Amino acid sequence: MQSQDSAVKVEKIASFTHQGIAALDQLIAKRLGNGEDKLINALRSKAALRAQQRAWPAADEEEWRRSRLSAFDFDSLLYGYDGVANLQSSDALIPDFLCKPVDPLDFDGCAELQSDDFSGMVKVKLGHSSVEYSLDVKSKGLYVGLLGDKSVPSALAAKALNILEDMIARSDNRFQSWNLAAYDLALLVCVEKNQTIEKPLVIDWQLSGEDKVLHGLVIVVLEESSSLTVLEHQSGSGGFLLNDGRYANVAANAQLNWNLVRNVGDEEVVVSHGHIVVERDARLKFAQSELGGGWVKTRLATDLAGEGADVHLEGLYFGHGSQHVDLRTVQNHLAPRASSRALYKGVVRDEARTIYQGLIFVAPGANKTDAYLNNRNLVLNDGARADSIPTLEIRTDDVKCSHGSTTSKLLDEHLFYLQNRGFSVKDAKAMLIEAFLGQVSGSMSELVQTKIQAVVLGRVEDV
Amino acid sequence: MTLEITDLHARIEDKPILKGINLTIKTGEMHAIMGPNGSGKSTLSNVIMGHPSYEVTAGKILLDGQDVLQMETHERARKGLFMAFQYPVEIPGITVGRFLKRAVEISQGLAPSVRAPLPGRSAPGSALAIGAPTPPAKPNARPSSFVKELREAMTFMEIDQQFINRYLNEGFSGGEKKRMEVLQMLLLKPSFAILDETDSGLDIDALKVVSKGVNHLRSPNFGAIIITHYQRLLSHIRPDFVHILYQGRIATSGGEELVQALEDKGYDWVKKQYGIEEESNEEAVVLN
Amino acid sequence: MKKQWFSTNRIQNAADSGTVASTLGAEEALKQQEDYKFGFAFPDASVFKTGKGINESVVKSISSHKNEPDWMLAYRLKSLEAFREKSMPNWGGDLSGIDFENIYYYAKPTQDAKTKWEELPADILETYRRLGLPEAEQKFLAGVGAQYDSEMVYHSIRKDLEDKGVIFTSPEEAVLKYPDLVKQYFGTVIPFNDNKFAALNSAAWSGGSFVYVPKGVKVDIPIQAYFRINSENFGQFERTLIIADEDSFVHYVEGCTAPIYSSDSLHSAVVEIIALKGSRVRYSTIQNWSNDVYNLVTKRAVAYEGATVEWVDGNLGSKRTMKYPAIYLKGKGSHGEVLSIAFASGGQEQDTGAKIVHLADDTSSVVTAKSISRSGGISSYRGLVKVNPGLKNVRAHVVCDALILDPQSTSNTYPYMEIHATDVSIEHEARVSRISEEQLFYLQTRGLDETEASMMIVNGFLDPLVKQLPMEYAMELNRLIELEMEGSVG
Repeated sequence: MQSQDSAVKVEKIASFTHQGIAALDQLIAKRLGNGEDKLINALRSKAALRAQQRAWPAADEEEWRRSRLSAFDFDSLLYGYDGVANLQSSDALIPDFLCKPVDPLDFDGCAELQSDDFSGMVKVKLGHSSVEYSLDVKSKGLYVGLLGDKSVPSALAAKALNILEDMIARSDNRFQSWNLAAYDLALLVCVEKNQTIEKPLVIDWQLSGEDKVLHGLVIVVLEESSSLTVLEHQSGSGGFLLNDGRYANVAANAQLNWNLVRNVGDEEVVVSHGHIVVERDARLKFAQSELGGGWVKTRLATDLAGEGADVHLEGLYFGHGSQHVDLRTVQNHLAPRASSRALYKGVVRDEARTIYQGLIFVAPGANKTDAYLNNRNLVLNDGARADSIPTLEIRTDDVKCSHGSTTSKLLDEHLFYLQNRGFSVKDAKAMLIEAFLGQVSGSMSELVQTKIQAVVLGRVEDV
Repeated sequence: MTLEITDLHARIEDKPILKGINLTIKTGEMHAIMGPNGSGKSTLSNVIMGHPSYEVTAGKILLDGQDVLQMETHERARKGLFMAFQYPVEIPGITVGRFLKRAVEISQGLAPSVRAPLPGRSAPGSALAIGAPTPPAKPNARPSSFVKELREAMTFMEIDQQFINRYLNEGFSGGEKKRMEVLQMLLLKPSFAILDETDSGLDIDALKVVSKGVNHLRSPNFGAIIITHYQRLLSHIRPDFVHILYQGRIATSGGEELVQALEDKGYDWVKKQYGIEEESNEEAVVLN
Repeated sequence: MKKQWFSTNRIQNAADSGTVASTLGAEEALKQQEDYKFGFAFPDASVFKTGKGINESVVKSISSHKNEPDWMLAYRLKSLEAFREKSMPNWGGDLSGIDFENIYYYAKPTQDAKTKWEELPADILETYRRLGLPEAEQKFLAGVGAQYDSEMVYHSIRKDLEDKGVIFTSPEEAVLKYPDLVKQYFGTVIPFNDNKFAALNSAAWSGGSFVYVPKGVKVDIPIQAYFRINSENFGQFERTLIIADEDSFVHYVEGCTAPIYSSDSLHSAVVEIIALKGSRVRYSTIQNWSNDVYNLVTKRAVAYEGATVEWVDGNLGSKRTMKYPAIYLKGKGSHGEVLSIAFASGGQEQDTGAKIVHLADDTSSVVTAKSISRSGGISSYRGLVKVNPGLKNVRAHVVCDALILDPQSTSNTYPYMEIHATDVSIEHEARVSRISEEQLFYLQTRGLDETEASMMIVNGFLDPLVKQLPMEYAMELNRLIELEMEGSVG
């Protein structure tokens, strides 16, 4: 058992009232004044420069063509940053999005979970009068801390810094650069070489704030032959922009399994960037579940950077009301003999609009690539809209690449069959929708499935 | 004709498989080559036909004195060598009829042409002036005789005539693929055929049909190498000579009696009888 | 809650242009001089040619040479304005090599169109003889039109069809003889300001075909137009309008070639098809431009109730092709099909596909696309399937397969599916593959040499599509692909 009980340290900082991209330099200077590490602070400035050099993504950029920004004034947003509270893990309660069903066939209750069921638990609160996080980590070889503090051994922290620097250099739109310049806190998650972390690490984001921009950032370093499962959940409401980032390096033969459940309020705006580099023989399984947010735009890019790398991306989304959900994935095949799969399934109803844009890119020389991309949409009523754009860019000949996309409604014959078994139309529809999404949710951790199920069921009640 | 293999060594990537094969086959003869998995049986057949994945490191293959190893695969085929594949490949989009017609034309010495007519369509007198119009090739004068022969051979091999219009090997069962290989052999009338484990995976009915096809070709102008793992096939196609391939060499040769001896005593007997030492544990595992 | 930073939470569900676009970065492939069989050219013997570049006076000059009525001149002039205002597409192939100022927009090869081949000037007649057109007309065409640079130099149609009221003529003649029909339909499918190249065509159009098939008339064998660029630095802007009246049928075929020059030519056609209730129109193109031609074509059809429109679109040659035949399924029960074949060799970029817009109930569409890339060529499939809100019983099926023949070549697939309705079944699949070594070896053991074996596999790849072509075109397409493939292996 390793303990990371840092002393309670609350910085008193005067309220920061400047807004938007224009205030970035002041924000970064203030952080330096508050004692931020010079190197880290310099990286912020580098990212800030990139953010300032770019305009907001415009509709003539393909990735943003279906998600226009003209309705927003991001430059009027206040920063969530108001100091960092590093709290000891005194209130390590099990977050309520986790549930271990008592009976796997009948979700009528959750078995009691202990903090011992997890390798660690992190709770982050953004958007309050201060930024807080609490930490409880107890698995050998697993280190969780903030960029700049001493919770993570310096060799691992250096790797995280490299990732940060690399991602700043590669950041290609204003939101992404903005996040890398202005992150409220950067959570580091590192696993040492050859360490298998059996129990999941929980990251629970509790978000709030009115007219604020919240910048979350997570950097994961998995050393050679290590493994880790992350269960991440985001909730909260109040009228904020969440602009977050997830970056990871999965070293040779390591395995990262990451479940993200985003369930913020229906009036929140979410922009999210992820980039995960997967090295030789390493495996990544990233499952993303987008349930909330009034306007959501995400991108998850993966680099299959070493031979034998294996990536599975899965996503489910359920657009309702007037939600706008635009998800993009990228499978970048840069090395030979790597394989990747993406499966994104979405349901859309009411006046919601969902967009899925997937790309398989195969670089010259990435021979024996085996890549697949699949998007399936279920449209529940007229007025709802699902766009599907699965694309391929193949620059070599020795590949096996394919994609598929289907869009349909609930099939009458399926409904009829279930009705014949005694289900009401309503129950039959609910069951079919659950089944449709189940292919993705079923592959996620049992501990988050109940939450997803509950949200989905709530949305199909009046179908 | 004579196919003469002398001190043949071959490897795949860096792994030596054949380590000095000597074998002489004359037309009119049937040679069976038996051996355990990993002994080099399939390598031998692929090397004879010039598969690009195998590298010949020493030795010779001569066909009536001509150096086979210097020939491209298609030249070997045109000289009368044929291989029935253990795993025939599927080629979507090319019908059996069109493929066989072209293959037979080639075997009859017709000039290779990239102007193969389309399947199931006789060519018109002239092309339409779209793009770049010039009259297409004249319709072949012989299709009727070819089609007749094809249909007869299919009947003989108990292959449904519908297969003429199916894409080559696509969606065929294992037995259908093997019958299709023998059908090709019947039509192409090679001087020497190599049957690479044509019997594996076949039920007894299919095995009989395949054997019937091979026996049909038996003549002073036809020689065959029958590569097999099992004795079963050799009771339907009776070999004149039997060779036991072991660890990349021919351990022993003999007549039909060797088949029975092997069946009774197993490959261990060969090992002991001929004083072969295990080269590695790995191969020993394969044997068991 | 303030939330003044966004004006409304009901955000932008409306109004995408629906155009097809992409981030595909332009890539300058190796320029490779191909063995192009139709590279011969005769000296420029135009009877009239405008200066290089385009402006009001050039447009007026084109118009006056055609003795056009004022309304057409006005249409041209407002199109010129739109051309100037529109920006170049920021997606698809690299078009930076086009110099609009260095192009001749109009070259008149003869004083008027002939109806007998013998009446053509000797060099033009010889061109079409070499292309085999007069012979083909006798054998299996209902009508033939031949365009040489800017003007149709030959037009004829079988007498019995003419007697039934079938019109097959140049659009210029149609403007003069059938102004009501032209006014009713011209520019209605593709507005003059649809895109930069359609606007350019609308300003500078010359030649092309005008086809009208009366109610119930079925034209049993194809009519054909043949487009030939002869002059250097030339822009060909033919304009085709096909109107199939109720319950009629017509199959229109188009072929194109050009000689090889060191500087680039531009082919920017506009094709509009109106398929009225119950009619069926099939439009087949096999384009085989030389490697210095920018081929940027806007093709669009509207299908009314129960009508069927089929585009068969083969693209070989050219430097850059951007062409996405479109079908607007406007009437209940209408059906659209696009068959697209692209072959991109070194230095070529084939950016092709299809655009299907479902605007009515019970409509269905099928898109089948096959592309081959070799020697560094780039093939891109770019397609849109759009289903408008509230529609019932809509089916769309898209399949695109790509074959890459060597590691230098590129294949891209950009399908866009915008589905706004629930009673739909939309399917899309795509596969990219290469010729496998095992397949090659197998065919070689049967005596085929490597070239023929590759050819056979390529033919096999295309076969399911080629099978759907009329035999003559299938033969022709196969032969063209064989020409492209020659020397491509090894």
